[in-house]
Amino acid sequence: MNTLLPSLSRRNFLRGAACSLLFAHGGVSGIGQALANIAQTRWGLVVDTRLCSAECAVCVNACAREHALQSYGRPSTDAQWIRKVRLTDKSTGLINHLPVMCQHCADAQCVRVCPTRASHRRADGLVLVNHHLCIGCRYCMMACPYKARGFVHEKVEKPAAHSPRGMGTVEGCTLCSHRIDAGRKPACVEACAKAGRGAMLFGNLNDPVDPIAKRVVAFDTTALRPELLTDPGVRYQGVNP
Amino acid sequence: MNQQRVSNTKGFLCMLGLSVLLFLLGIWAAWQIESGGHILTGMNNSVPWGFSLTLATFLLVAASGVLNVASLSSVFGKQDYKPLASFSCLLALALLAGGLFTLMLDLGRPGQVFLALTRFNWTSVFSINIVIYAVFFGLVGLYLLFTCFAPQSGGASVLGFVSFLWRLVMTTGSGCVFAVLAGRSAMHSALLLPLFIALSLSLGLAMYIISLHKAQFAAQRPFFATCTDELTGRMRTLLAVLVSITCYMVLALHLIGLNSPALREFERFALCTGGIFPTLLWGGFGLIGTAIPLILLLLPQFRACNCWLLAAAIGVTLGSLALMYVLVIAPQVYPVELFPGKIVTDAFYGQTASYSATALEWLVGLCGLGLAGIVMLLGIRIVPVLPASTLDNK
Repeated sequence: MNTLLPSLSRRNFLRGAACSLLFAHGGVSGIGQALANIAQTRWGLVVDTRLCSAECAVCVNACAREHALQSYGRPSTDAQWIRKVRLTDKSTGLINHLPVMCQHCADAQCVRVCPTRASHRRADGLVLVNHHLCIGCRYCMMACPYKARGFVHEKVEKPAAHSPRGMGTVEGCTLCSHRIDAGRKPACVEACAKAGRGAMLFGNLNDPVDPIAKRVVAFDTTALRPELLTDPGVRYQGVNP
Repeated sequence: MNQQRVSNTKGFLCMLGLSVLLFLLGIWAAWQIESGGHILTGMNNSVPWGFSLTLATFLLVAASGVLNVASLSSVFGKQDYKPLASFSCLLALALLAGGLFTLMLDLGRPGQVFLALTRFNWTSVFSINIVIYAVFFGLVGLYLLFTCFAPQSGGASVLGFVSFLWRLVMTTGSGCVFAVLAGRSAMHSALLLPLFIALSLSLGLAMYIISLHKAQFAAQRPFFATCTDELTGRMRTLLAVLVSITCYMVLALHLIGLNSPALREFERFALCTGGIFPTLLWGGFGLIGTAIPLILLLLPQFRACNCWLLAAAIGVTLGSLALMYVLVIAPQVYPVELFPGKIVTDAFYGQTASYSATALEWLVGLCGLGLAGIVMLLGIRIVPVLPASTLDNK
């Protein structure tokens, strides 16, 4: 024992042990607090369709720029994580324009069916794909009720460092998880605000004082395909007449 | 009971060469897709599962169905079928291997397939099916050994019964891949499971008849040398019954769809306006796969020659493939209703997607058939599965 720890006196040992205990206690409780915060967080979006217009595509363009999504002029296979959609109400004729992307569902069907658990849901509600684990079976694309997942059909040239992509794997909107982790808003939300629209509101759906939670409570927001009970994290305002 | 191996006849080598060619062409096609991307296929972000997966599912459903003959002998005690049971087991293993191989080649990253074996997700039907297929391989492999080398033992009967139950589980699992997809309304039906089971029974018997003919050709023996007239007569009746049951299940699926307001538009698409899909459903499944085979199987004037039984079996197989194509592709092509009561004007969400399989997809799909052919032919060469004559059993 003495040969292994020649310079460790009893006093030093006790001092070190005390410091370790203090650090461990503080560290564990700090991590615990952080985990509790994450568990209470559910990132989401509310899209005010009344502020979204037909000609505007800043969210789509910002997404493509942020994640280096290239277009080859082949719409059916090109990577596109947000799509602009025009809705016409059959009875009233009311027209809405809105962006459709991964809805980051609480009961995500893609996560349920993925055979390798590459599709996963983070503690803060983001539904992501681990490209290292994706085998390209495309079952998540079949399971997604919103057709929000895409397959990388071609070689990816110059992918963005924060947005790994690979041919033969499935991908979809990450709600700019890299930005969220750095305390920023998703690129589409930022671009929409910069363009003066302000149609997209981002925040913590579980925080009662967050503006997004207040808006969900105060207004009649709609989820895509609500009958499926997937509890999407993206809500639409102004769709119902 | 006198079981035989097949020797290196000209027919055998010819069949083996054809199977190896199909297999190699499939591997080449898969390599092209692997290096150039799925852009070389007809699949897209609206239709992620194409013809290769359709053929893979077709082979997996058939793998379960070809065990009919073995089940008839060991579970239902039909002694006439006993000499043909070993070949039935071998064929099930061959088709399962072919189906799973095609499924693997169809992946975006086939090289990473081991991840599916090491990272199970028990909520995924795919993961559960991997276990089901592995157990099927083990069970039917053992059953094959018993039917070849100890056919009269109790083990053969027990394995026969367990395999019979397991094949039902396997077909249910294959059907569940589609039936559990709540987001795809046209697929999300509990009726799909009994339909898959009925389809596996009729398709399996049809493919058994074709494969037996193929094996006889490889052995350079006359067509149905192993079958008595009585046995072929029973096969005719059984195939007619199974084809009728499948037809009934398909009718039930569409009748229920037509009476459901949410599915009526899709049914109109699949049955009338959907281009190739109504053609495949009415012409492929209805006419070639059901009506003509039933005529060939039931009318007395076609009972004189066994070639009509073979023709009916080919019809049933082609019809089943057409039905599988409609079941897998049509719900993907048809637009998703994002907001009920609203018209979506967008090429991706609001319009019918286009899909047509490329030559590479055909080759990948046929690769599984090639592998099944290789396994079957090497099997009949190595293991004594073909009976010298069914009369030996009497």
